[in-house]
Amino acid sequence: MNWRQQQDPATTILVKPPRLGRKLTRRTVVGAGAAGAVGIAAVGPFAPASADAVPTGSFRAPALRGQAADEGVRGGRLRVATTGQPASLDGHLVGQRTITLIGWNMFEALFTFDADYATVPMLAEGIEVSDDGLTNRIALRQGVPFHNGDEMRAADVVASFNRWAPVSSLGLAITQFLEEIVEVDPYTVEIRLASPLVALPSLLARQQQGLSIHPASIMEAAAAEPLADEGYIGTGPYRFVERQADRFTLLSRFEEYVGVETDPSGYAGRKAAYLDEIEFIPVPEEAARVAGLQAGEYHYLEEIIPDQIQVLQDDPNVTIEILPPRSYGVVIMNTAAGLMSDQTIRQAVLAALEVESSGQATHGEGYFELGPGIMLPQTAWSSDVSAELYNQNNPEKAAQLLADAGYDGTPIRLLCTQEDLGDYNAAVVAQQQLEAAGFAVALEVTDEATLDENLEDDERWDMTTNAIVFRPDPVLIAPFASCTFDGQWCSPEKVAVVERLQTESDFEARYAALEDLQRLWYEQAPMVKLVNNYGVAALSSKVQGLLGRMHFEIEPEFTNCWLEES
Amino acid sequence: MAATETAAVAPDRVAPRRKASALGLSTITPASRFYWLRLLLQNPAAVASICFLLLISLVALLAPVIAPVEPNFVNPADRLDPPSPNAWFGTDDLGRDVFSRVVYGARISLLVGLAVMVGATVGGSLIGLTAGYYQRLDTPLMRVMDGLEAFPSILLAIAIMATLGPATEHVILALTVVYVPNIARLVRGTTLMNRQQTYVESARAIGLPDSLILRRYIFANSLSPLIVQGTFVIAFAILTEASLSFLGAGVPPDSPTWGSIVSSGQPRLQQAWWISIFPGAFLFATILATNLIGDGLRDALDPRSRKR
Amino acid sequence: MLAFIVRRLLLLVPVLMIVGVIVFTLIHLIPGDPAAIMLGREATLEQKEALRQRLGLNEPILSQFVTWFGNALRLNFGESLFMGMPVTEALRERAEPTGLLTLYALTLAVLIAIPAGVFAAVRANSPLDRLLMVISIGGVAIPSFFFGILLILLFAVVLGWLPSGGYAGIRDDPIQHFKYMLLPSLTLGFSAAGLLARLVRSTMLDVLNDDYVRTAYAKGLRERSVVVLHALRNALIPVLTVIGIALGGMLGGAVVIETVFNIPGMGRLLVQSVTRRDFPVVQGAVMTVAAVQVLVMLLVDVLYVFVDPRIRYGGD
Repeated sequence: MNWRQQQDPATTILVKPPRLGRKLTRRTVVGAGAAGAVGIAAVGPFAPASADAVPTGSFRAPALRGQAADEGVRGGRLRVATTGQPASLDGHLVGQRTITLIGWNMFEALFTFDADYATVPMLAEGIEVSDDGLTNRIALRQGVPFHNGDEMRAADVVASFNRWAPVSSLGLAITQFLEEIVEVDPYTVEIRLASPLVALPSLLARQQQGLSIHPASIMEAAAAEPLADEGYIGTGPYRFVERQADRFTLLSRFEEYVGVETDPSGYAGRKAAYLDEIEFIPVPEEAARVAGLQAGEYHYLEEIIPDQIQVLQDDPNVTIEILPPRSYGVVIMNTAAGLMSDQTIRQAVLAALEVESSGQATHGEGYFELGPGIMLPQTAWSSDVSAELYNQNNPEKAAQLLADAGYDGTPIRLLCTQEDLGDYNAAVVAQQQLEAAGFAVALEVTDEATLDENLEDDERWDMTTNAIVFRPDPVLIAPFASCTFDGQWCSPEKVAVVERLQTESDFEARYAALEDLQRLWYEQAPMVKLVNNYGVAALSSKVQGLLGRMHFEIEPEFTNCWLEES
Repeated sequence: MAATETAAVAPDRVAPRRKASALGLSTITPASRFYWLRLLLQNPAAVASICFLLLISLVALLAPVIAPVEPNFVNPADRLDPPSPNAWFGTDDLGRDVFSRVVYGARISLLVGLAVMVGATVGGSLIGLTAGYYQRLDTPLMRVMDGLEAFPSILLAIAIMATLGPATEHVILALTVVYVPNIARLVRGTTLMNRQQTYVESARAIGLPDSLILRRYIFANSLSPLIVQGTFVIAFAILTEASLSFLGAGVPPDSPTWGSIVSSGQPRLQQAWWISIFPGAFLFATILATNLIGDGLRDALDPRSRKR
Repeated sequence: MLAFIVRRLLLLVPVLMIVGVIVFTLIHLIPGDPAAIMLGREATLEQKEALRQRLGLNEPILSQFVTWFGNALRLNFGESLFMGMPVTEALRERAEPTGLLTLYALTLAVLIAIPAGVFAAVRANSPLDRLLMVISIGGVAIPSFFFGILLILLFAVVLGWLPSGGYAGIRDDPIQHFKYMLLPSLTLGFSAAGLLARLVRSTMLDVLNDDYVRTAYAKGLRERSVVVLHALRNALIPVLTVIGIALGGMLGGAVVIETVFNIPGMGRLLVQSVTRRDFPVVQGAVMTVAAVQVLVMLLVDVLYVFVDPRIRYGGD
């Protein structure tokens, strides 16, 4: 068999300038957005060979370089205020943000994303792909211990994969291509595919509901059941200690951790565990989280309304950093049934909406940016194709399209939840704009569980608001990759384009497919893209080493950071 | 009479144990029917409160005239603006005019308070009269009331709201269910006492129909504690609606109430205090006024307290 | 006396049965189920369906009710869908914060209300009386979630004296415990104090007009001893009853206070469990709170009989 070396982290060429210094004030934030051309796009194994292929967007991928010296202060307990209490920490089963935030301090994946969002090995040594793209051989690092003392072997990876694949959306995506996964020797697994899947390492990398590696015994015992607390065994630099529902989740340093020795870069490279312990405290009330940060009780907030920055920016105990976009808002239309299954009416919605108001209402002036791309601008995938159909703000055109479609004034049922302030505000703004264009809109606000039940029934809704969160590769975005996401965008054209994205091996070809997908997005209008929402990191000034080194898009990891008592 | 005052928040179990004379209006004759009103009007706090509530009611009625902007008009470009001549109470996070929302909020808040009062009074009186007069129905009816009362009131309301979904009518219904048991208990107590009275016995002896006896001799004599209780129900309904909004189980966001505006401003209290403070002040003043009127009414209607 | 208690304890059963039926019906009428909350919005229909199957949510409602009620009678409320632990265990964890919060708040309320009510009554219709009563109504008229956040901003953010929220067990760290509990107890206690103070005032007024008090004055006793020895003691009887009722009201108030101050108690568990559609927890917690409420009322009635002066006079 003829093997081709696909990936070698040591030789990945990094062409990044130092990270943009983005400090507080609103003006500089806007400035940073405008001055985006400073950066050069991410170059990873699946990224374009030349930066020319990358259209100019605004936010560029930040280079998250770590200093080589071990400079941190050991000790202390980092207290993180989370937005809620996850049902479990079983990241295979559940894709909640908070689980992603907690879990990846304990668990590790075969691959991860470096400072440039390139997929690089973590527990894997590397991946070799056969010329036909069907056989993927993954060598594992040796001597990596689990928290229970056992060494991580190929059998653990196979067992973890087999448990994860049927219960996670990413796993299900792989399963469509999968023939089998086998243990070749104790430190090698082979994934055999029915057709090439170029994004395989990205699909196996650290992310929301990603494939974390756990001991085979635990995986086999748990199967589709959620892991019990004793089952939170991984290879990461922190280990699970205890959790009490609605009170805390406590992790402590795993002294025997064996990581990689390359310099820290994004989620990749060396992970020093300076902190003795990390405590995650569920604080569902926004006001309580912010007050706790001001009072010095919490060191990091999982989430914060950008409006609070105004209050916090003068506080010497608090550091605020504006981060690259973490998500973009969307108005999702039900393409499967009802009024919105008519493409002309969907185009009327696309024509009617003006996104700047939506951004102001959801994030506040200065904390969002406009952009037509369906991939966020810090990725290599950012594209301006069909930009003329973005943010049309053209009620006359909308009214004309409505007349063409024979719209009879039937109220559009716009569903949303008040539990997510951003989604709610976006819905209210959309309602007003649509009504101005001649739609009748009935806004139905419920709680999250009710909303979800209503969305499952195609006959029950026409529109909803949501956000599409950052993913480094388009095949990782559920509404693109799957036909079953809310709204069920599943035209034959889309399916064909997505297949190209999944199977083409050349970045140029994949990028062309992405641009086609974006064209379809604006032509078929399954959703209307609103604005890119900047991330906001709110943390105590005592926390050192986190900003400028760590990504925040897939939740930060609290490695290489420490507490400095002032 | 002391007991009625706490009864709005909690089951009134004191009343039946108190002396009968403390509860009834039985000594008031038609001739002195408006005597209590004169007494009430001699109470400066009550008069000031009545004036204030009349003013608020006027604001509520004339909301479309008074409010400069439509209360749900979204204008994100001018969001979180502090109070200014253009927007007297500032704007909220969607750029809606807080003053207009407070003015319209008067409508819905008062509507909730009054509707719950009427609903709970009518429902509670019917149940209380039935339970007190027809002894066979007493136990089953009052056990159901016990069951409802054993719920923490706010929780019962949350469960009902979660079931029905957010709508002003649903808030009214949920709060009515919450307050029915304690009105029922109050009316049952007075009914039990009145049905022992000789005039009721005589009325029955001469064959008057039950409905007439209930209306004329029993309910009429429960009226004054009921009126007092009703004012407190208004106050607590408005307050509980605020708590429901805070817990995410209140009115739909496009029908502003004072409570829902206060709670919507709560996460941003530090940077935009005006969203919560203004409706909060109106809420506070209205509850205060309602309570003062309730106190005044009780003093005026209770013959015992007249001595003071 | 014993017969009275036994009879009242027996009455507990039908009341709890009614509570059980109401809560079970309501909770199963609520749209939505835990699957989406537990799996997140991106979960596929298949994943949600598998979870529902596993949680037994696809069983017919009637059979779910029969199973649940049978177990509930044996104090087994089942497993929390969300927390993966027995409901009784979850409730036991949450009982301490709520129990202590209510206790502190009640103590504060009584300490504030009784002197305020007595002073107001003794000086009835004076400016002091009016002021005290307006303050009491004020305590009732501020929504507690709003009052709570104002206290947090003042004492935690501006002054930095007290933590903004959270909880420490009384046995783990008593000092921290009291620091955490001070603001919530104040918030909850203040609103209850308003009601209590007005009640103390009006019962005191009643009592002060009674014949034996006038007799006591006539005997030449000093005002202070008349008020404290004669009037207050008698006024306390209805107050005691109302304290029992206030305790019930506080359990409801705790729902809001625990949310504002991020206290992991029963109230917050209940609200969150409604949001999470964690049916067994809601059912178990409501039954527990209802039972506590009914038992408190029973206790108050028993105490009432004990301290009623007529009974004591009879015994003398």
